Amino acid sequence: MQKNLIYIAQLISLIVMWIFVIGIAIWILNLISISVELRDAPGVSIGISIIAIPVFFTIASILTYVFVGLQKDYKSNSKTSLEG
Amino acid sequence: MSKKIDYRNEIDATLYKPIYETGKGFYITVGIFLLLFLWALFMYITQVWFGLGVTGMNQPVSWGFYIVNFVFFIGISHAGTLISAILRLSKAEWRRPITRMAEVITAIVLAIGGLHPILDLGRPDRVLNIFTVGRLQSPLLWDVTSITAYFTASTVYLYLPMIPDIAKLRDKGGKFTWFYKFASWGWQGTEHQKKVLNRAINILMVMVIPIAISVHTVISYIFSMTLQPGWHSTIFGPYFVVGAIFSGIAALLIVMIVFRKVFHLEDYLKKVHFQYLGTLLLIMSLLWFYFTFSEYLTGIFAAEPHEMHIILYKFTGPYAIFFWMMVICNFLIPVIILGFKRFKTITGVLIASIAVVIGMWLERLNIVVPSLANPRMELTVGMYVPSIVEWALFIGGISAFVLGFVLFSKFFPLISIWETEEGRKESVKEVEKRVKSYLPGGEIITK
Repeated sequence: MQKNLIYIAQLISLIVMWIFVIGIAIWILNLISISVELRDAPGVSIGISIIAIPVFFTIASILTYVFVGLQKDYKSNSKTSLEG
Repeated sequence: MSKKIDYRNEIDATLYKPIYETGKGFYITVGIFLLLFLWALFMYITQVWFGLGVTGMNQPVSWGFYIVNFVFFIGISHAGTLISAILRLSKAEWRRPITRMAEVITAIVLAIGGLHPILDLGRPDRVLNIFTVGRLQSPLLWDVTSITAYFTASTVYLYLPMIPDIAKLRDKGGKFTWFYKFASWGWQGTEHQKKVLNRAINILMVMVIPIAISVHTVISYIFSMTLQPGWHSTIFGPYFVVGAIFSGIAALLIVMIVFRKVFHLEDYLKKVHFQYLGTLLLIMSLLWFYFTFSEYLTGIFAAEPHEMHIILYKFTGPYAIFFWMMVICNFLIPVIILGFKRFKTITGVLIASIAVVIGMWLERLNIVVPSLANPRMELTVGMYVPSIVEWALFIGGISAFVLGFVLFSKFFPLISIWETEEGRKESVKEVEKRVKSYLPGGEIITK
């Protein structure tokens, strides 16, 4: 039971990270749309976003990769020890 | 928590001790700094209630301690992730007891520094405007973006190498096992898990270096993108990055020396660590002097009247004391102490590091205030005297840093245990292999 709760909490923390990253991407896209609407140097905004958005997505992807990678072994080992 | 937990027979028992045993010193330190922090909080509430009139800021000096401290704290944050990433990337074996502390400094100081622009707002609720009507083409918004990216990357970069150590604490049991179970992400130390973790750390350490450099470059843009004399400089980007790394190394050395003494980490943090980092501090001091010299020489040579006005304000005017103190602290003291083997003891390194931290804070003060005090328009020359509220919030920032660091050390080891173990097992073999690979005749090296 506790094991499942901890797993759910871990999943939630990862989801929160993705919500944060997607939130930032939406915020930046919103700022680009404002600059386009106001014709206020949209090129600069797009330039910044091209660098910023992938950075956040890469960080979240690395975390997800580690989580999935660690859980894969953890689950298969737990299963083996139960069967044993 | 844990008299039952047996850690004393471990080789690295010294690293577990602060987590499982709480001395009087811990409560006294937390008590003192918590009080200071609460005092700062009270002062901040006073500021929100009465407005920015309670600060020493006025026209024409509309940026004071808060922006100085913002630049200063963000600069200190370069201690960590950047230095740690460079040491990891260059496979410097002596990095192992240093990297964790460096990464913790970054995460805590970035959080503190990042909040300072909000302190500078008379109406903190207006920070929400950046979400709705922010202008991404403004360097201020570049700051928000790059600091958020650096904070996110640094926190992840601090967290990932901690996973094996968190799993060790989980396996030992005790009061917070549920928390360690949650944070260890199912780490069991299998080959596959090690491969996954190392791959992720390797990607992050390459990523974090340009992010860290971009942060302080962008901070310099707040100043250099204006046409303000004393600020409008093309070398401000690298000048700020050099200053940030410089102050970061100094802060790291202070933390290392203090915690070495308090937690008895003499077996881990040896003289060689302080000598290597001391040499790095000396190099940064020379580099800082070179940039400062170039910055002022070009200004003096061109002799543009407004620029000269500010230079003289710093050299011989009201800010002369701060300017020359800055030169003494950032150049003379570190060069004299770190340039001679005789003075390059741990105490010497501590004195040089404290001087550099003070000197770098003065440098930020010298950049922010004089340019504002001498406006281009025909206004009277301003004078900035910080109020008690600003001093309180400065002390509050430092208290938050000490509290954050002390609390971290209560839950996690300050020196990476698994990396120390790995070093014992593999570093000699690894270094030998590396030397053999590039040294002519390396194959004749025998054990």
